[in-house]
Amino acid sequence: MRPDDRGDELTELDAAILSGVRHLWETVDPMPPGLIDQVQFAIDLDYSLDLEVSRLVERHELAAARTDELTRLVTFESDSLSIMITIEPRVDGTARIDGWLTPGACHGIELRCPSRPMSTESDDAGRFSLDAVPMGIMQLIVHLTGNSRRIITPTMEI
Amino acid sequence: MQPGTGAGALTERMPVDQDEVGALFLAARGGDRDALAGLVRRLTPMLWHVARAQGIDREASVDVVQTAWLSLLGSLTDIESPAALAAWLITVTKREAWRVRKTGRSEHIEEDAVFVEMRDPRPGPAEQVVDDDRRARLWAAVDALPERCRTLLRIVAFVRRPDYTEVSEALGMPVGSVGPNRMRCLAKLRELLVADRTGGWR
Repeated sequence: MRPDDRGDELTELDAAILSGVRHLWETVDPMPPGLIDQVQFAIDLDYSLDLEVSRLVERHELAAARTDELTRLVTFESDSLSIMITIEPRVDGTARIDGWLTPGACHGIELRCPSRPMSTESDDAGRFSLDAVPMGIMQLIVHLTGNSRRIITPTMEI
Repeated sequence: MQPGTGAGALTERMPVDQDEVGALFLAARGGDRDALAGLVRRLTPMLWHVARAQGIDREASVDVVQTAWLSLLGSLTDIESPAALAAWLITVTKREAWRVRKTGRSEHIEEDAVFVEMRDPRPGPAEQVVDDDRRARLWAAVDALPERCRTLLRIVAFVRRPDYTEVSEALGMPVGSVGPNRMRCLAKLRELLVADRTGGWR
């Protein structure tokens, strides 16, 4: 059967053209090389759990407090709460993260990163902090108190 | 879904094989993590271009593509078919990209500058010059397409044998029209290339 006979199927020339179009876009606007790994890491979770996705809504760089590196302010939002964090790089190559959940309440905070997971709890006002966070990609998971729901953020590079 | 016969072999350089995606989808829905990882590898490049085609910057596109996959975790069991999976992911990626645009985290993509650069290949080894020339002519032809066609082909180029009805809805086109639309856009591009006899696209 000739390709042309298959109605909506592609001819050889069409396939070559589409393949060319794909290579062009791959060249002009390449997907970041780490994106697939980043997605794989982000979704490597127990997806039988009740997960709520928190999306990144704001990202700012603030004037440095103690080092030459810029402190970043990042805000995530989901239906249940918003998470605001500042990431302050340390001279030893790690970072300190201060966070604030709104509405403020005590919840479990898990920080996932490839080298070592870390965890803490927010106080009644929703504040939490994590020190000596390794550089690289990380993801926050908030374990809501008295609820099986987990709030998950996309991964981000620190 | 039937494995490709005639034209299948001709399009095997295309990256997303719906039959393979179908098998991975069923396994992933049953809880197979390797299958889910396989879907991520196959569909993420397409989603990258869906996000970028909405005019948001690269950093925001990384977030948007991740958000789409994270959202999928809670919805896998609601999705009924592999074609619906691609459509679902495209829809969520577009929606998230629009959200970013609304909040102003977007950039004006200077496509024109890119096109000009691609049309002016640097000198190189003879074979390279032929390749560059062919590529530059293709780029010029893509550039000459209406924007709607350019965007459609950009995404369709990353999908093999899509389910037109499902994907057309996701791309915001009338149901059932992506097939003919793709063909119309592709036909336009083919005409532009074939008209240019010196480009080696015949």
